Amino acid sequence: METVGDSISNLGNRLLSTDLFNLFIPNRCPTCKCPVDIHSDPLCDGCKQEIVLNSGHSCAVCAESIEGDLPPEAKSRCGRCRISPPPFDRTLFSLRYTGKTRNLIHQFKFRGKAGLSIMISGLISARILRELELKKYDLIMPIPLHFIRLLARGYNQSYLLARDIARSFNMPVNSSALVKRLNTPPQSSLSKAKRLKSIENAFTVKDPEDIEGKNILLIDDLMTTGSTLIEASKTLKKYGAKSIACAVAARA
Amino acid sequence: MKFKLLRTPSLDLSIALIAGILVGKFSGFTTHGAIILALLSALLYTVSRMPQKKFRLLPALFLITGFAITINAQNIFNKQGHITSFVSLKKVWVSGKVKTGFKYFPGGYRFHMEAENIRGETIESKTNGLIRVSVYDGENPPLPGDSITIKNVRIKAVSSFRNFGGFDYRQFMKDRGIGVTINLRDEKMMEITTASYSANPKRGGEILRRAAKKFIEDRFPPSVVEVASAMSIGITSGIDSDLRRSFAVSGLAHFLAISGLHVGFVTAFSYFAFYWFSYAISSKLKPLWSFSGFFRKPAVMLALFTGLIFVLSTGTRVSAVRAGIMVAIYLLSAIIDREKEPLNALAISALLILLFDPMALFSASFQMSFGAVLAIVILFAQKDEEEDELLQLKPKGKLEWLKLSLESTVKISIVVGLAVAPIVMAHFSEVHLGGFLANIVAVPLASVAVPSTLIAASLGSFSETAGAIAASPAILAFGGIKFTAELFSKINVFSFTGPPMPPLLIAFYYATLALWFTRSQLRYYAAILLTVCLTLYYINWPRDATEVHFFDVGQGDSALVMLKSGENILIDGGVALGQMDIGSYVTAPALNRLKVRTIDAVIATHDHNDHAGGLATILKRIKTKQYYDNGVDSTNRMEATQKELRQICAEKGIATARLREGIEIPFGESSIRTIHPDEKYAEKLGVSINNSSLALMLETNKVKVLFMSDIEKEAEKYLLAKNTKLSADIIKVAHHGSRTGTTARFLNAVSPKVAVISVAKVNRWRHPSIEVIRQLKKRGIRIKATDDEGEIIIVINNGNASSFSFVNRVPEKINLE
Repeated sequence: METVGDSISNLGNRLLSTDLFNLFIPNRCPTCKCPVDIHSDPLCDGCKQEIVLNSGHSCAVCAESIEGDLPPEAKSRCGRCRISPPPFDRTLFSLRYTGKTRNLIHQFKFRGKAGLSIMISGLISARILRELELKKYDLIMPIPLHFIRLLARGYNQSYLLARDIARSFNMPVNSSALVKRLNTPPQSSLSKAKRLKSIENAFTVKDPEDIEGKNILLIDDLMTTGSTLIEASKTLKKYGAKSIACAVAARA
Repeated sequence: MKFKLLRTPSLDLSIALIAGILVGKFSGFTTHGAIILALLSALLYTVSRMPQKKFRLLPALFLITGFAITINAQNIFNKQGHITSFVSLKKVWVSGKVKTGFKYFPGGYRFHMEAENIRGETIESKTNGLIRVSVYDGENPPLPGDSITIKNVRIKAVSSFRNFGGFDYRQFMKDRGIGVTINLRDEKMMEITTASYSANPKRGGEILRRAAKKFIEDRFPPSVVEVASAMSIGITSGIDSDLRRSFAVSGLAHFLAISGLHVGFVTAFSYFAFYWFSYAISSKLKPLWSFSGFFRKPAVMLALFTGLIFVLSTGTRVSAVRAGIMVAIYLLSAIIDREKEPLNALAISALLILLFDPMALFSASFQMSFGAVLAIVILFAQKDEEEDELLQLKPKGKLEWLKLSLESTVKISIVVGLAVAPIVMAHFSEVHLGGFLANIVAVPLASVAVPSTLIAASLGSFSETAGAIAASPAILAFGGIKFTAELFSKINVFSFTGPPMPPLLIAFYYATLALWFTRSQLRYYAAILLTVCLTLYYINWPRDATEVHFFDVGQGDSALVMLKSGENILIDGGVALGQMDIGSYVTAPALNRLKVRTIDAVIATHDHNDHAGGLATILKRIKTKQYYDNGVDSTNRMEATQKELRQICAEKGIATARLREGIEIPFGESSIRTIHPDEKYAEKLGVSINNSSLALMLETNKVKVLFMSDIEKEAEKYLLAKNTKLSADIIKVAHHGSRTGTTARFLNAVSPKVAVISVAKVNRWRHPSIEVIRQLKKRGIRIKATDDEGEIIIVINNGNASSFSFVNRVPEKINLE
């Protein structure tokens, strides 16, 4: 049954997609700002070409790109993951964080283009469908934001991705069990060496029973050194999560 | 570096609309207007870059719409039965509907009404058109939407002073659709026949405005009431001319008109308040709404609602409406995930405003408001480009935000000041670019003051204590703003005066600004060349003749002598009574346009307000070397000014002196000799102020000009009896041509070739008298009167003289033989 709210939002959507409305408030490609048709993809054709999809060899665990061939016993794991494996089993990513992709993620994260989550989550879902045995996972969780950062940004981009991925696979999403309790400086503002240190103990789990014994798919927008995902996974494991896999939009 | 400003269809459409309005204004409904329109439409159709084919005709359509609405707006006065066709009728009853345009001043108020019926002794008919109604004594103004009847009044045409380059008040009012005014001495002459209770947003706005006005008057200390009313509800009439001047000179004049700054502060403040509120509620009740950002939507809606109420309750000025539309488009684009495009928002607000009121394009407030915002938009487009690379990745120190916000305040002030300078110069004959200093202090204060006044006013209606507490930061901040304005108005190195720039110079000026914005390599050369051009245009060049200007100051006298040798002498300055200060509206701007930056002598001929009144503003604003008067002070409180003038001189360090018969002030080869009154006459009992006026004889280049001020028969007789040398080529006729002076015997003694009369067309005393005119005509003296001709200019060179005026611009030789 259609509720009043739905009919209002339908009416709004219909208005937003009229040509006259788009004449005055143009719909633009987020990366190159050229006008794009409201009914097509958010990115224009040119920018779609320039988005760097995941290709080539990368580590199965941390998704670090790998030059050359690995010995078969490595099971396509990079050297570091073989010596000291991170608390998660796998990392999936759909985009390489360079060029236009960088710009795309910035628009999504910092410039208020929350609507991009539908497209970006689609890319992640495709990757998940191809590489992951979804049956094994019970729960999808986004990386949380500290509430001050959430207020400053207006939304949690990881939550938007997790929500849309969960929707397409019809899986439960839990966005409140894992909590960021410290307002750490943005990872992007720190040097590689300082990142792990700065985020130490930043996460906590509010409802341990929700995650106990669960196989969790952890979602984030961007993975650079992996320190955020490592710390979050560590916390989840501490509170009883069984296994963790990560899916991110872009990998540096 | 790439220069990034996103082009939008609305921008093209607003340019097309403006082009249509310009064609409509300057060609009108004529053959060549139609040809220009057809050519432009064809051109727009060919270059049209609308996103869809079906919209290709749209720019041409907007062009024609602009043309049509402009023609319509200009023809509104020609409509059958328009109120302007009843001008000068006396003792009529007018009924109609109250519109907006409310202004409040001490003791009274002013508003616009739409006339519907008119009834008089001989006529009774339907009518239409707007009337400006001023009520000088009353405290219960009607509200927009009320029906009123005004009883037993006279319908006056709007008139303006006609000086070269002067402000055309008649045209200004005509552009607002107003051709007539009605003045009511008493509120009782107006009757509200039916009060309307319909849902009229402007009515609601006016009710809120009055409530806020009352709150501010009751709760704020008297020293900040005027500033608070001006900045938070747009009631500026309480601000006296000195304070207004302080705001102008310190570069804070933009504070006194509700504009983007105020609307911005109010919506920003309410947005953040509602944002927190909405977040707090949704994080408790529905956390998913806070993660997904849905909580922003109600916050935006509530903030927009607050903004709308604010714009309505400040009198819907163009700048406030513009800001309101821009903020609305900007915030709405943000919540529907569209690009936030300030240029697009600006173009849409221009479109909306001009579609409703095409003549707004020619008003100073529209031009300055849009010019300023356009400059800011361009400035920030550039900043965006720089920041894209860093994009919040750079770590910021603790005080970095402070440094950044100060930097942008300074940058905006400078850029806006420079961008609107030619517009300001054209409208006001002066620019003050020092705003970047005062704004650093005043902008943060205003960001506290304006929202907290509104919060206090709304809380005050529930609880007095809460209102008083909320008002305290506003009181402090307004006090601070007032202090800042007064402090920084002492710095005047950034103030410039002069005539408007010619079109070519304006084009070069903006081309240079564009080169700076685009960081072209040519920018330094262009800037140097522009500085040279501006300097050459604005410095005083050696004069090739002496000019005597008799300004059109309405009922009053003001004459400026610009000697060939470079000295300037101002004889009287027009009237200054209450709100009507000719000194600041007419004389000072006229002096600015004539590049008179130093006056060698200011002479007050006698202590009557229509002569000495306007000089107060002149002495305050323009550097003066010497002040003279006759030393006879009036005892009438309405008239007396000389005492005040001498006090201003003492404060400013201007030398003062008393003129007496026989004193000659030399200016190189020219001189001004006082021929009346002498010591003996001044001490005679029963001498009127008029009869002790200074009579001055200017002698320059073998030509004599006699300024008779307001001298009457008695003094004329006295002069004739003394055998004073009175012969002159040109006479400024005494007392506005009154029958009290200019006797036949006196005229015979002077035997002038030209008689100048400084008088208003409509005046209480019916100056000039028919008898004086007859006497002048009988002697073949050429009469030039400011009520017929506007400003009159006599040019004197090498023993020759010629004259021209605002109406008759072709110089006419004066036969001196």
